[in-house]
Amino acid sequence: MNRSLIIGIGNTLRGDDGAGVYAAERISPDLPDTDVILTQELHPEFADRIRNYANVLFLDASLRTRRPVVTILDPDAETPRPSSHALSPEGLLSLCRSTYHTLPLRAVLIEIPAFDCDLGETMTEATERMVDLCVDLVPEILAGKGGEKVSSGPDRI
Amino acid sequence: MTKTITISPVTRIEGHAKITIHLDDSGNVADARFHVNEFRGFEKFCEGRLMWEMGGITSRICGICPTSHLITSAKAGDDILAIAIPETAEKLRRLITLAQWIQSHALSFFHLSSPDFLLGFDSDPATRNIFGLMAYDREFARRGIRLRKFGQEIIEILGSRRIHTPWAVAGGVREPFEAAKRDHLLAWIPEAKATAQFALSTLKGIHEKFAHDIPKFGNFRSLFVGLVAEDGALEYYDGKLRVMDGDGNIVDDHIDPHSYAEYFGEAVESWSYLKFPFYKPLGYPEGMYRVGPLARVNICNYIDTPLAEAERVQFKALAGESSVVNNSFYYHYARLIELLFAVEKAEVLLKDDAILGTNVRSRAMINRQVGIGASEAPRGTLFHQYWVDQNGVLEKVNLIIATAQNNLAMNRTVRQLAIGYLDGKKVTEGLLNRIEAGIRCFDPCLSCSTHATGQMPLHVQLIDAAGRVVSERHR
Repeated sequence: MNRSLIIGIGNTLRGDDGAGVYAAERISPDLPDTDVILTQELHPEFADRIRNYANVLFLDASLRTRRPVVTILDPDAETPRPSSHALSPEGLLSLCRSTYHTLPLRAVLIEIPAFDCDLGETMTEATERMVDLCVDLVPEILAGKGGEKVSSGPDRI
Repeated sequence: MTKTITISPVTRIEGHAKITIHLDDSGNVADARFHVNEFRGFEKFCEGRLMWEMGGITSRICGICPTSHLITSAKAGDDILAIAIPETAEKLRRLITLAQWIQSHALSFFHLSSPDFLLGFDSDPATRNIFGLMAYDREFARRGIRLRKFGQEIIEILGSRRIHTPWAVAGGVREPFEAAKRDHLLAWIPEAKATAQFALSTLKGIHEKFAHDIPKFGNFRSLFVGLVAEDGALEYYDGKLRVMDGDGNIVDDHIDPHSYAEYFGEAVESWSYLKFPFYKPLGYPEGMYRVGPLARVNICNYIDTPLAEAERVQFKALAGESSVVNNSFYYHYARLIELLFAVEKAEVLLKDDAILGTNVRSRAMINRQVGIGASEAPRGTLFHQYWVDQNGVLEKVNLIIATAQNNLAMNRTVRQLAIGYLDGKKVTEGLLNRIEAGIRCFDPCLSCSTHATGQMPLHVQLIDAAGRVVSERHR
C-alpha cells in the first residue's frame, strides 16, 4: 500500500470548474506508483477505492480563494454534511473511515482558484496559470512536502 | 397581507433551488413554488458543434446520470444516420443503461433518502445524512456503497472512463466487450441481487412507521408517462410512449417518440428557469404528468424478470381499485423495484453470448437532418432532438430532461406538504424536512454541472409582502 491516487474533480463543460480535471490530466505519466482518475463529483463508492492507497491527492476548483491552497485533510475536523448527491473530500475521508475503519496515510486537497464557471470548454488565463503551478507542486506534495495538518481552514502556500 | 416563506436552497438534491410558500391573509397556504434559479443554456451552447461530439458534450451536463445522456444522444445520432445498430451494440447499450439505473437508484435510496427513513424526519438534521446513517447502521450504508460500486464498475468497464465516457456513438459503441470482464461482472450479481432485495424489505418495513406522513406526500391524481415495450412490458432503452391517467386508464399508447412534440408541450413561468412540460391534449397546467420510477411501474403491464415482477404485483396492491399508485412517496418503492429489475436484467444480458460479438458499430453518412433519441433515464424519460446540416453541424438542439417533466408534480407535492405541515408563521424543522423529503421522492437533478467548493448553504427566510424578512434560519 505505497501507491498514490490523484483525483481530478470538475466539469470541463463549465470553464474553470474543470481545473481539477485539467490539472490531473497534466500530471506526468512518469510519476512513480501513482494512479490518476478524473471525475465530475465525488460519490460514496470512492470510499472503497481510496482506502487502498497510501496517499490521496484531490485536485479541485475553488471559488473561495485567489491563490492555490494546499490542505492536509483531517477526518477528525468538523464532520461535513453532504449537500447533494456528491461528497466533499473531507466527507469522503470520513465515509471511508466509518465504513472501512481505515484511511489513506495522507490525504491532501489542492484548491485551484476558479474565476469563471459559466458554460465553456476553456479556462480563464488566470486559472490556466494556477493549474500549471499546482501540477508542478504535485511531486513534492506526494513526497510529503507542502501544507501542514490543520483542523480547520485552509493552509496557504 | 400575503407572506412568503422561502427555503433556499434545498439540500441533498442536485443543483440549486429554493422553495417559496405563499400565505394568504389568514395565514393559510395559498400556493407553493419550487424555483430553479440557474439558467442552463446547454442547448444554445451545442449549436455549431458537430453531431458526433454530442455524446461527449451532453454526458458532461450531469455528474449523476451522464450515461443516460450519452445513450440518448447516440440514439439521436443513429436516427440522423438512419441506420440500425448491430445486435451486440444494442445489448451493450442496454447493459450500461441498466448500470446507470443501479448506481443512481442505489445512491438515491441508501445515501439520500434512507437517513429520513431510518433516523426519522424529525431527527437532528446535523446527523440525518449519510454520516449519521453510518453511525446508526454501518452495514446498511456499506451495502449501499457496494451496490453503487457495482453499477459504476459496469460503466467503467464498458466505457473505459467512469464519467463522461464517449463510448456510445452514433451507429453503436466504440469497443466490443470481453469475456473476462463479463465473468468479473457476473460474480457481482448474487451480492447485488441480495442487496436490492434487502433494500426493498427495509423500505417496506418502514411504510407503517410513516403512515401519518405518507398520505400528504404528493398524493394526487395525475397522468403518468413513460416508455413501454411493444407488449407493454417495463422498458428502459427503447419502446413506445404510453400515457396513463390517475385512474389507470390508458389515454394514449404506442406513441412513437419521434412524435413527442405533438403530444407534449413546454410551458414557462417567470419565477423558474425550469420549464413545465405538459400533455398537450389536456393543456397547461391540467396536462401535468409524472415520469420516472412511479410512472414506469404504474404504466407497464408487467416486468419481465421474476423477482421484480413479484414486487410489482405487491406494489399494485397499494393502488386499490384504480390500479394506479398516485402517491409520490411510493416513488421510493417503485425505484427499488426497478433497482431489483436492473440487477436481474443485467444478469440476463451478461449471460447472453451475443454481448461478446465483435460487430458493434454501423457506419453511414448523414441521411436525415433531424434526429430524435429517447430512453428512460433513472429519473424518467429523456429526449434529445438534433437538427443538423448536411455536414452534421448542429443547427438546433432540444433536450427534455426527466426532472423538468416532473416539475408540475413537484410543485403540487410541495403545496400539499405545506398545507399539511405549516403551523403558524414559522418554518419549523419538521416542515422544512418534509418538504425536502417530498422533493427527494422525485430524486431531482437540476443543475448539477458545477461543483466548485463554496456553495450550497441552507438558508430559510420568511418574508412578508413588503419584502421584510420576519423569520430566518440557516442550516
